[in-house]
Amino acid sequence: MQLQPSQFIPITEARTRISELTKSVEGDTYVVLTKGGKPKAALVDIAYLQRLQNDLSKLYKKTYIDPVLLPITRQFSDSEIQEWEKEDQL
Amino acid sequence: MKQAFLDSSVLFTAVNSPTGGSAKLFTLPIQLVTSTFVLTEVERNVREKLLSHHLDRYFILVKQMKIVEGKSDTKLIEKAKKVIVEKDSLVLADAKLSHAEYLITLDLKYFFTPQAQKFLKPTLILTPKCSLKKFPDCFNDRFGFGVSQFRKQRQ
Repeated sequence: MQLQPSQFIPITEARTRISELTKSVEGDTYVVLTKGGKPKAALVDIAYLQRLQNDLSKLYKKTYIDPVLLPITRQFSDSEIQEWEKEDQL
Repeated sequence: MKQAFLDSSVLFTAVNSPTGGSAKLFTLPIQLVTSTFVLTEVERNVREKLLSHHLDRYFILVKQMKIVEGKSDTKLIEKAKKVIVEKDSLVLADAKLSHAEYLITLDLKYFFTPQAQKFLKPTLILTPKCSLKKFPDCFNDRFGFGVSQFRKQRQ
């Protein structure tokens, strides 16, 4: 998802344009509201938000993890991940 | 179709780096194999270390693989522990049980030893790069002798 500069609007400005902005958000088009120049919240199409939440929920429910084997697995260190990436380069 | 067993380092890197040799293995006409232990270890790390789109990619890649049940027998794991560090003994035993032609790994330190290769024979241990580009020379570099010599030795 790419944020376009035109989608950033200060909250103070949004207050006066809320009706117009609400109409403008549709599908994956959304508006980022800023406070003190920094992104603070987003005005998003509710159907799009629900779809995202459902997709994420499905994604995280699916698993190949075997709970019996999980305790004997280990967490990879950042250095070994970097070494693998280096060795993997073609 | 030839089969290649992927260890945790290769599957994790294929998820993490779509342009590397590990990811390219998924485009070859070979059957990729892994075990439930490798899947458990990789998925745990994808969830803990990478982003949600990586998890999505992980599921897409795993769909292409044949999964062998990780019910390695204890005797084989004990034998594997004698030739490799404990953390990799289960993977080595699973690879042996899979009867794949190749074990592909990025873990150069522990898997690329004559002892591990002898334990796994007739399966050859390779890196993704070796299996993609310069297999005979690469094998020679790792073990100090050529593939044909290795094949003679194991007969």
